Amino acid sequence: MEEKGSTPEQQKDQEKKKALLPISIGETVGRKYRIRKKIASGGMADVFEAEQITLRRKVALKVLKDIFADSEDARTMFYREAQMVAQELDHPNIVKVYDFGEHKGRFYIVMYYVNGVTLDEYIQERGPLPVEEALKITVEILKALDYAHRKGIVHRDIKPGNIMLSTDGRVYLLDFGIADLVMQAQKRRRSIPGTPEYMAPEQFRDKVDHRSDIYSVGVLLYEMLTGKTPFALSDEEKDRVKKAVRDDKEEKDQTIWVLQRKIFSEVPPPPSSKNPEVPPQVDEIVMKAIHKMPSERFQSAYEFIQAILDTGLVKDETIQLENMEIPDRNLSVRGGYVQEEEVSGTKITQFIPIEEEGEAEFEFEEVEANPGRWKVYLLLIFTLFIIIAGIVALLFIL
Amino acid sequence: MKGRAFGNTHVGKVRPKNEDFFAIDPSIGLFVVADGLGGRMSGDKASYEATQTFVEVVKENYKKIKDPKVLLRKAFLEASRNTYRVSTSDEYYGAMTTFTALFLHGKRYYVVHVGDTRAYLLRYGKFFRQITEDDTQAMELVRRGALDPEDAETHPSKHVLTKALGYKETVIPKLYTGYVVDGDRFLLLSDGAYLYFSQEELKDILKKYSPKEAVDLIIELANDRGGEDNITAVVVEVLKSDAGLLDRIKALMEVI
Repeated sequence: MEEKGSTPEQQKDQEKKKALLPISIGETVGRKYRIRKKIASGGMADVFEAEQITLRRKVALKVLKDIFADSEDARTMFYREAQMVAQELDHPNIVKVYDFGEHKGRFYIVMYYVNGVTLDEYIQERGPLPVEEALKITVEILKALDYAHRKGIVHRDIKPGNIMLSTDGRVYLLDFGIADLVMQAQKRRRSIPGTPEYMAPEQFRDKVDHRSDIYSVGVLLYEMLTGKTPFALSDEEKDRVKKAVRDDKEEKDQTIWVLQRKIFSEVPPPPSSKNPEVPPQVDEIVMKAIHKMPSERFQSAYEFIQAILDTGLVKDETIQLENMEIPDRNLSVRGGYVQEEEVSGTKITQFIPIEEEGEAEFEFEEVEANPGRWKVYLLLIFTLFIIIAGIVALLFIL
Repeated sequence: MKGRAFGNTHVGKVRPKNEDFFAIDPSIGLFVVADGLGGRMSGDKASYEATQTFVEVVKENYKKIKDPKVLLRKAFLEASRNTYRVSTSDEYYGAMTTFTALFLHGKRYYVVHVGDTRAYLLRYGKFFRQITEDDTQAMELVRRGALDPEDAETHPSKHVLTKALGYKETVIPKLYTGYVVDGDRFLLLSDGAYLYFSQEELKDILKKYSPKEAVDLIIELANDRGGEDNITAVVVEVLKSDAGLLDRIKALMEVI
């Protein structure tokens, strides 16, 4: 509100604020959280592993990229959304929000740290999942959505990157409320918002209700069963796009347009055409969930869950992650101080993030090198000088 | 020799990921900046591989090989070979990297260089110069007398590299060397950093600030001015050298 009628100086300040400084490792945010490392970097946010200093507990700290704390409007909106998520959403399948605030002109959100992998990483590592496992994960996601939808809250950005599987077999949905904020900010900047692969057709026209989330879950289930999203471009289509564009940015834009066209007009082949293990009743469920008309989909998450349970394919609801290695998520290290470490007999060179260490001091001996004839001469002259001085002094005294 | 150093890197504001890499090894006085490119987004692998190999080989042979030039050549060739291996693999096909390493040893500095990352030197707070010559088409034209040095900075071919690690198995680097004296400040930059600065400004920053302040400022300003590419800077300040009187005179002759 104080933005109005600002003096030129203040405007300059504003402009300066826009050039935001990076958040660095070792930095303390909001006097409470110490940044440890960057664990994810996406279009709308960077996620850091941080330590809540007082409680000494690990938390995930998400710093939003596209909405900046530079106007009262943005602030009001962000605080409202963050408070809503923190107060309203208390569910075992939804990641808890602990805190939020502003740092260096950016909004951040502090959340429960899930020790596990994203569904994205899981699918990439495993390829298509067994039918029962895919259904189990879907049910867990739907439980979270059923709970939120009953409170009138729509997620709007369901995608594998927003779902985490913890090592103890739980499924968590991330980013309620935030997705919407960021999308609106992106739209103001005229960039294409969201992750188009998972967006329902009506979402491109800004008509969103809880059935758009149902659609996205349908796409997710399709992907878990086949390893690919229903409208993923074929190699041939990708080639065609590549030939028509000049650079990476154009390629990205063009790909999104092609995708959007397919989402609007194409009926994808059922999952069983790509994975013969998928039984017809599961095909039916998926195709119903990703119907182009919201009125033809499941009308609630609850209905969707019932349909899955009715197939009788989900026998036991526990999910086990087998031999899943938690990937090293330290994305921030692009260099640093060299450190050697011995791991079972072999030396490994590591690069320690610089922010934690500060300036490095170095000191080393002059290596061998010829003692320098120069030095010898100098020493000679010096001794000669002392001797002469001594003689002169002696002469004086005498 | 005694001194302090700092370095950092930033993805910038446009590129989706950081393909630069840098290393600082205060125990042996080795500093590296590499800028990965090509291979549809796997340049980051090349810059990492080259730096990692180079640092490892230097560390391994530091005590064995007395002649620093021989040591650096060996490390560079090994880095060259490994980067080429990466560049010809299916996964990282076409990945390449520029490479600039500064090595402080005895009374001298040594710079091994390929590509368009740069090393600068500020001496006695007055004399500032670029140690390395870019391996770009524009500089090639300058060498052949076809282009004025002043025009090289704006010539369209200044981004076209004539040499990089990864494009063939054995890449021959340029090697620069000179004396080190008290107060020398070295600056290593990737093109995403120096793109936004005049020589005068770099000289000023190097003169006024400590290594950490200088690096932070360069990254901040480069981002403010567009941040179109990954930004990497390493600053090394020599507090006490082993140079004798005669070395100092020679060192002065090098820069004036």
